Amino acid sequence: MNRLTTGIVPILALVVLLLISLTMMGNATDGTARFDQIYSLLLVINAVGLLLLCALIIWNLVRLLQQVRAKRAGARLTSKLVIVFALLAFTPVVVVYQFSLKFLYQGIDSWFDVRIEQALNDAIELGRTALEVNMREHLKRTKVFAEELNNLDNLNIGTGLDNIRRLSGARELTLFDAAGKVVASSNEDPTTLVPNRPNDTILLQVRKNRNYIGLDPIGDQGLSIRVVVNLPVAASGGQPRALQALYPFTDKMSVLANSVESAYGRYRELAYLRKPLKISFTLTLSLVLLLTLLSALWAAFYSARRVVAPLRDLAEGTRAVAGGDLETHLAPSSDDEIGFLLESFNDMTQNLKRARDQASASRNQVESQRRFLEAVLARLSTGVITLDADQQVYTCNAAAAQILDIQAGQILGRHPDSLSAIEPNLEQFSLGVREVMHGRERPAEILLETSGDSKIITLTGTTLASPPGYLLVFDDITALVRAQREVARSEVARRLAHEIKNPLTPIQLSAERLRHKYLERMHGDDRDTLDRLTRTIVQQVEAMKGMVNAFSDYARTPVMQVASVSLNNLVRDVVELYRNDDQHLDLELELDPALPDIQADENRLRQILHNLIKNAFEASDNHQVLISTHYHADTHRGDDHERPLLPPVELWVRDRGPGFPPDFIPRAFDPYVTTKTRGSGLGLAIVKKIVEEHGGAVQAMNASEGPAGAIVKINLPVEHPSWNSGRTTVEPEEYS
Amino acid sequence: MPCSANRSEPPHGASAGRMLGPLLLALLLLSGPVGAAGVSSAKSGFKVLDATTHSHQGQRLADLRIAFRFSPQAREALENGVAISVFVDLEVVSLGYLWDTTIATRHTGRRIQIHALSKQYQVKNLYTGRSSTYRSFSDMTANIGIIKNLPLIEEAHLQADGHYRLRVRASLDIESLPSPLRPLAYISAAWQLSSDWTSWPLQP
Repeated sequence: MNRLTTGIVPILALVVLLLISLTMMGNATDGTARFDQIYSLLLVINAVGLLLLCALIIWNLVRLLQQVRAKRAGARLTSKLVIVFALLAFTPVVVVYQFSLKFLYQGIDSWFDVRIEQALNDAIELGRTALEVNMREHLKRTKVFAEELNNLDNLNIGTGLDNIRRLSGARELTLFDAAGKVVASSNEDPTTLVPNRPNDTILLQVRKNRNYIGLDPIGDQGLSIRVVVNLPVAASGGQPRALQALYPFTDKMSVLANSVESAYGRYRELAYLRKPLKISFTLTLSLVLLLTLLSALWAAFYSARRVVAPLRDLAEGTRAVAGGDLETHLAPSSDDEIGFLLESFNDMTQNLKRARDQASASRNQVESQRRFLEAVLARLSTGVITLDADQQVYTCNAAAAQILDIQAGQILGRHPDSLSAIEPNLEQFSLGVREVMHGRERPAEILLETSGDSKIITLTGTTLASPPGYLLVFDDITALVRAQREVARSEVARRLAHEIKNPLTPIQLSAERLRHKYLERMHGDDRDTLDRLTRTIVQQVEAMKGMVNAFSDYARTPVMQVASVSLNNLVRDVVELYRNDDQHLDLELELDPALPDIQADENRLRQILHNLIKNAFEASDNHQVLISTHYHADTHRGDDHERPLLPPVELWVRDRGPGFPPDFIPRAFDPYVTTKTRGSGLGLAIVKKIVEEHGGAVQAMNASEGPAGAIVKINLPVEHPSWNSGRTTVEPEEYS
Repeated sequence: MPCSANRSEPPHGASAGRMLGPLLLALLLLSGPVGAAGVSSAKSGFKVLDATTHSHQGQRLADLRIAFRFSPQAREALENGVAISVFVDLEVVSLGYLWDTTIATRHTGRRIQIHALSKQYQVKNLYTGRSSTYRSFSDMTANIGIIKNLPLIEEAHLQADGHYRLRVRASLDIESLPSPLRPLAYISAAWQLSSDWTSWPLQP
């Protein structure tokens, strides 16, 4: 449909067809017999064609109006061009139309001249007069022949007719009776069997005894003079008869008469058709005008579209480029300036696209590097914080947030000095940062108190040049420091045990030997004194041995035998031992059935439980101990990039004693620190050591709700992050 | 006025032109004002007055009486040398229960032209080619209005128990007018002289 209404070929074909049709119509109007018969058909074709063209123009007009209302690109320019083109075409066409009509009317009027008309009238009148004279002569002669025939009887009438016809020069003689029936006939053409019969009007006239003479066209023979006269009634025996004689024109006269008749008839017809002819020519000319105007209008639409199309494409392309679509490519329409403009636009979009691609590639590269750095920083155990030119936190990696025990987003955009506003414990960190930024050469060592625990952090920093800023790097060396301390303590313990244990056995043996040798010999008070002193020596040596063994245990770092352990079952087993004891221990259990099995060294966990139960038993007078396990399965830890870590299992051991002294809690797990008069101070230290070997955490606190009491809370991972699933033996860590 | 039996087809172009006529008329009616070209006299217009049939040698012949009442405009054109053609169309229709069936169609036509030199009206039978002349207009219209012994249909085609009707129409052929006159003739009532179809009983 669009192709039919906007394509040039169908419209050109229609216009050419209409032009041909109008030409043929013009010829038909002019009297050309070839097209005269199809004049009406041509009129219909032209009218329909023009209606089609008109509908096409209206359709184009409506479409253009819609486009203008919709503010489509190029619509206004198209309408302006159409108006200009139409005006340029209309003015000369209308002027030519008016002048053509004027000349046409003058031309038609010039055909008719009063003198010519008069001459023709005179000629026809002259012809009639001449014919009348001629006809009167024929009438006289026919009357004479009628009288001659009247004298003939019926037998000789045929011969008489023939003779008279030959003498008179008539083409045909026919004798009719009163009823109009042919009585006899004579024709110069013997093949003519049926004589020409006068019509009823002539016969009626003759019956009224009025002769008839007229100039009648007879068949294909041209004009003939018809004379019908009555035969005298008396001679025919009372039967009225009539004689018809048909006289031919002489050739010359016939030609002249026909010529005058034809010219006069044609002139009369033309004169009569003058007005219809003008109307018909006006109609044809109007159709031509209409065709011209409509064609011009359509050509205006077509040209405007052709001109505006590349500009519209350009406008839409520009809009698309403004919208970010650089794939727009405009097809060059021509090799003129507009074509050059389109090519320039295409070059521009190509250059823009290339630049965008390069920028995008650079951005991707930068982004890739950034992601790489982020990934590296995210997996670093070292905390990294960058400050921008205004010394505000720009980035903070996961390790930094973990070390500082904060959310990374909390400190972004903040000055390091204001970190204490987020977390008061970060005051020391802020001071360290200030020192580093003020040019401290050696790494700053910061003690950070977080969530009841303390961390030791080493902090260094350097200035960034581009972009300007500052880089802070810090590590949590708590484990390292503690490990170093543990190693030192273990070494002390091992040497102490070794040095003390060596003389203890001779002392004990010597005391027992003294007792064995001299107790029986002595009597009275001496015997009692010796007995008491040697027993004391042996007991104290035993106590010292126990203490030395404890030191030895603390210093020992045996190989861990990791296996799947049910902590609940382990707790039940250990508790069962104490239930059978006669120390009246009141042990209460609250074990979480959802507790999963954990990967751990069962024996070492058992030692933890023994130490804690023993401590709790010794701490409370009523010997009430509550052991509980907990598991919060809904809390997940670990980021999305790694295998999610299961939450740790919790082991709580609580007594009903007075609780820990407040100043004891921070040091509760340090070795040789005890509240008991006879304790070695290694029970909780060993507990902490074993827990940390399992990757867990231990915390000492006092009960905040319910009855008073000390609480030791242990978190044990379900699976140690550093252990492989198939690995069951863990070598002791080597501290140096 | 006898007509030959093989006149079932009209002369070349006449029928096509008469079919084109209504289309052109409709187009002109749509495209411009009507009636400006003249109004027909109330008494003008063709009318079929009588139609009878009789049998002759196995053929059914029709006798027609038609009033050819020309409008002043048509007569003026005729007097000024414009030839005018009139046609008479006949149909034999078999009446059915549901619909009627045309079983025979016949046409006859006359071309009327004035002969200036002799001041007579010359009438030519368009199917036989025979000509006749008349001194007066009234004689001419009276004579062409009487059509006798026009062969209609073979008797054998008429069933004894059938019901038939003869339909007749007289019309002026605008397409035979000179081309400048045709557009006016199509939109002018003065040239719309054709009669309606008139129906007459036809006894088998």
